[in-house]
Amino acid sequence: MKWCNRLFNKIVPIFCISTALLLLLLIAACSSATSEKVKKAGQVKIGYGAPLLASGQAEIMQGLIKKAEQKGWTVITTNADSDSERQANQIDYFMSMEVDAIVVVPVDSQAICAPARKAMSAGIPFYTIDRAPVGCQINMTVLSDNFMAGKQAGEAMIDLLSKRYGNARGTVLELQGDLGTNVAVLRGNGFHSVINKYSEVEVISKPTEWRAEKFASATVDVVSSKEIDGIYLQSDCVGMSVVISALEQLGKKFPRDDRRHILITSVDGCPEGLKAIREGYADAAANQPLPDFGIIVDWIEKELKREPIEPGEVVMQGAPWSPAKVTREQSGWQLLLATTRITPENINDSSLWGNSHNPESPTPLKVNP
Amino acid sequence: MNNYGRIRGFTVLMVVMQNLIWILLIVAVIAFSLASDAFLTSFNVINIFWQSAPLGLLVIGQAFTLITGNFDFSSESTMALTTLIAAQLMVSSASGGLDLMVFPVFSIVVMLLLGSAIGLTNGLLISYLKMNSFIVTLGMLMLLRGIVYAVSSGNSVSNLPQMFTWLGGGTLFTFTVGLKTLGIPVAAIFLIVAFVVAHTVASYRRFGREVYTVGGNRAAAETAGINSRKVILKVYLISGLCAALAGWLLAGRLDSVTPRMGTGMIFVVQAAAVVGGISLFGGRGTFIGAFGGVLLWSILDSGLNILQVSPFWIEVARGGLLLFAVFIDAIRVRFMHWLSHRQALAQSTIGLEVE
Repeated sequence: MKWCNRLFNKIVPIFCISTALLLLLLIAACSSATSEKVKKAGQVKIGYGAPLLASGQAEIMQGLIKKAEQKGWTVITTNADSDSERQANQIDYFMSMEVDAIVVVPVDSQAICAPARKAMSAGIPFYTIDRAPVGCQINMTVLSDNFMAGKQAGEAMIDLLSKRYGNARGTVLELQGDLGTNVAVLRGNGFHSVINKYSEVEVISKPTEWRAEKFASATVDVVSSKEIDGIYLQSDCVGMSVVISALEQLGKKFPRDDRRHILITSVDGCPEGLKAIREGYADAAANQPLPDFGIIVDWIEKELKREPIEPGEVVMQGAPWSPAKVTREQSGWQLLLATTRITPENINDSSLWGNSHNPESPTPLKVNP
Repeated sequence: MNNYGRIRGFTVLMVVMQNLIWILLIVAVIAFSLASDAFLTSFNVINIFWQSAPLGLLVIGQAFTLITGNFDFSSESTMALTTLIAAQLMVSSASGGLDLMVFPVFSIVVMLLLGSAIGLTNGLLISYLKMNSFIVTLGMLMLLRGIVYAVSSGNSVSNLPQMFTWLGGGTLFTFTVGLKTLGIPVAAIFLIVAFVVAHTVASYRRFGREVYTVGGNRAAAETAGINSRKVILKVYLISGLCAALAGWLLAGRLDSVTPRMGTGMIFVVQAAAVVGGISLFGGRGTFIGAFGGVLLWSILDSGLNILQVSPFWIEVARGGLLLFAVFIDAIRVRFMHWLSHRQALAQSTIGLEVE
């Protein structure tokens, strides 16, 4: 039995480790000897990495899938669940599956650079939606003009305050997104570019990391301790319902015709946001053309056909995202889609994507996770 | 077959059960490579090892504490905090740092010292103040993560110096396959070396024997003269140090540190350790097995994703594997008891006629 013991206590472990090493080297050697497989011509495959599937991300993904399928492409989708390591792993898998292009909404604008560089150095074009990378250059980013959106929300707030008090004054609570994303920074800057011109308007800014519970807790904290005239939500997708509930909890939820109504403007134009405007609890929003981010497939097609990309303006009559601007930034090409201002007057416009959803009876989105 | 032969047969079965992880690994590799030809490419295999490295280091630390019969749920937060501090020291404020531009070697030393200090704190609370390891490390998990967010203000840190990222992101012996330039990841070599060191310490050094004894039967360890409190303190120190090393690897691979780094990883660490044969009751399990557990976990993730299995079903598969491993562990304990009972009976002469 001694040989038996020795075999299984000493030799098997060493055997296992060396097998693992050998396997690695063997596969490396074997695969480098064979030339790269000839890819099936014609069928374009793109990989799409969603950061999560809540609050508007599903809309973005569906929009892209629709536009890609119109071209006859297949889309492989993944969900990173707000984990940048998982997103990096998923990009590795896309590369193993030899996709023609990778499109992601980065979980973290800084952490996306390492996997992006890896993909691009292997010859796979890399695109991001909704958030631009910070610190590296990729093929193209498509996003809403977040600065314009913040500005529109700011202008709406100033208009509403002026209407109420005769001149623009009062205290406004700004619920900021995750300051690690450039989206939040731009929406804040756009808002402040308007508000800062009015010295009698005081702004209290609270960060929320794009998390609903933080929107709620910040609202409760500030509204219960100060007299607030207005609230600016950097995302009504994430925050509108919880902010309204928080106001109700504090006994400060009043409709528009009531004198104690707290003015609310926001960015996104999610169904929750539109519903709040319709019901009279919110007042204005800047609409993000979420399902239209998918038009990036036109530029992906250009890259795959080796056509050049020109800076300039892209106009499509009647489209809510038009006119869009193509500019060259530090992070590569950028496609900025215009945002539109939503008010109680144009709330039922059919071009607003939030209206294709009835929040009362939500249609289950067919999502390929 | 006489009794001796039958016991030998059962022993072989037991050996199979103990090395089940390797059988599962081989089956998984064969199954995935048959199901998809994107799986067994050099690129994918290299990625599997690359992705396993941080998890592997965390499992080493966790295994040491588990073998003594204790938990360390704080290691994911220790990983995040130590790496964040190291990163902030090294880079400019434009990339999220503190503009101190500390030389990478020094910040690595700070990182490892901080990890050891956190581990030491855990160890003191658990072994000397006799607090419950489950609750203490759970509390540290939350506390340390909170400090991560406070120190970082929610911002990430990137543009880490190449000297720092070399361990987690660098490669050696590069070669090209098609358009891709590949190499053996330094992280993979580090991972294997770490496991060899851990296994050597655990199986062939006195400290390792002490760890197993304390985990197996603490009273017996005390009677044998082992300072079990010191042993437990040391395993937590190791766990903290391993967490810092895991963070170094992960930050090297992603070239960045985010405040969310490692969130939720603790469950995978426990699962990989158990699947690799480390018993949750303490006293059993080898580091070779744990290595297998880590590899299996990454192979499963890679294979199922490449086959485009829905993430929901991937979670089901991972949970199922974990339950299966715990089940095998329980069966093995009962079987070993039965076996030793029979062996004892076979050697006694009760009831036998003696001439």
